[in-house]
Amino acid sequence: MDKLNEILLNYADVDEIPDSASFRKDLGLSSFDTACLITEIRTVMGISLEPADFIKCKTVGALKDYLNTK
Amino acid sequence: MIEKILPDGSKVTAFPISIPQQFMFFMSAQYGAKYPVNNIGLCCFIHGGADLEILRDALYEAISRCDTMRLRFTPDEKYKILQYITPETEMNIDIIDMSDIPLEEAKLKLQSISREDIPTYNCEIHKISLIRFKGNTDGIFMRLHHFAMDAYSTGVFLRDASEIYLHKTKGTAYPKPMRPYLPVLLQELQYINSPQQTEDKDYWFRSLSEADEPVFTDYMLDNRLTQQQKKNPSQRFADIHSGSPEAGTLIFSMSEDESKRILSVCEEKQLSVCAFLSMGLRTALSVFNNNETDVSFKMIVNRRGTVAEKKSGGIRINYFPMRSIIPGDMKFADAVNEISLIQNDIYGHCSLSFWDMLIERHKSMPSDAKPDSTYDSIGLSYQPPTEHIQLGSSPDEVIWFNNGASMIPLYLTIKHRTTDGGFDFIFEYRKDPDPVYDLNIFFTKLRGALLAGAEDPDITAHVLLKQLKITDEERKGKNNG
Repeated sequence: MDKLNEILLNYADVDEIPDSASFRKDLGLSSFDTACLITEIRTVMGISLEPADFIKCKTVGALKDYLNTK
Repeated sequence: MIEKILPDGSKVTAFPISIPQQFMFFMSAQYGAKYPVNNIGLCCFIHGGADLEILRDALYEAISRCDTMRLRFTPDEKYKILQYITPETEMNIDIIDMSDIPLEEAKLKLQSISREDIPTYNCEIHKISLIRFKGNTDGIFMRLHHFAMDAYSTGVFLRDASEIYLHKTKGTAYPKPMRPYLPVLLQELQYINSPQQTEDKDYWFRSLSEADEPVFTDYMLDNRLTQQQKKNPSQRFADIHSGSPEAGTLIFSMSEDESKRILSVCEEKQLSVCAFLSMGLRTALSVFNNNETDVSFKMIVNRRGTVAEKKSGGIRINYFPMRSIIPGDMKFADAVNEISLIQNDIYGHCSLSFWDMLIERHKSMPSDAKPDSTYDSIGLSYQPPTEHIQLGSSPDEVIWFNNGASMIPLYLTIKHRTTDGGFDFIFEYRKDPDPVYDLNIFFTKLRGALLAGAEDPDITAHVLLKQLKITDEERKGKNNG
């Protein structure tokens, strides 16, 4: 999941991204950011990720767990 | 990348302009100096005052960190216009004393400066002044050129300058670096004629041509489509661009408490704030158009997803048709999610130029449609909150000045106030025909829809429309006015 952290650092202006970070509150991602992020995860990681599934993952850790099941 | 010799004989590395810049370039040429659509005017009022010498140093430092605050343009035979970055600014940030005149008078002066024509070629295009106002208030006044900056990049620049000032005066952490403009610009230029552009054209052609024809929904009580249907009863588009671009501004503020109610329901139900506000807008349009279920407006997208896009200045706005069909039995929250899905779909194809979009749109319009016939009466832009750094002793207040002209008949910007985070609804409207009465009623419906949706996300569209019905008194007021 190092790749996911690398992608997330392109979207949030922080030094590190803890698994407990929430996308909206802690990383400050808007709906546009989220749409771009989903596209980049799909393209770079080759994983199919639907917006509805992304929304269910409230934290970075939850997204990692979800992507591990794919 | 083009080697360009400037009129003074110096040589620079120049670049063509991006798609959003081409749009502004075209609009500016169309309206000319009389209507300065390129101007962005704003003032950050610092209550309690600031050390203006240190603030001036902080602004110079922020300019050195933001490439598009040092951007210049030069005419070119082949490309019409090229852009280049100067390594250092020649801007002179002056300190103006307005403390001897009332604050309202000072604001009028700044408003007037915001409407002055800005020269575009081979010179500084931005102007910053520091101002001493009456009553221990200082201000950072900026008149920026819209070819190089938009509202978002202006906010980011202001925040950077504020953080530098606080670092100098209070020893707080120095801000993280800004990002270079050129890599982001080159990415924009590479999009032109790319496979992604072809894919986006296909997407818009498919989504616009395969659906039934939309219908125009108006914010004016005297619906312009209804009037135009007297000539052609089956017409569904409207012609509303005929008036002068002269514009005024109406600002409606929603209280901090009401705004928080909306934000907390979005947080609790994981709803997109932008989609929630869009649902409010489309509900108000529906109320104004006989409870129409098929509503379209222009969505103004500030295409900044990555940190590099957010912190590199420039302009990245684009306009797209946002159509939603919400049946009467759909619950508010479900409609918000529906709108969110439509918006996500649009975000995946939002680099296509507005002109290409219009071409795709017109391919499926009836043959009697004119080039600027439209289904959208309003353009909506939502600006998510950016953390504002307070410089004074109480929250700073940022006022945006109208440049006196609007490229579209009605532009609604929804912003968070810097003072308390509450929503401001800024309607920039064309004065002909005068929509002020209509917009006052329109805002009560928009506000009513948002608060009802926050109060009960399960309320159906049908019940909501019934609650918000235009009263006879409201209609009579228009006729009496």
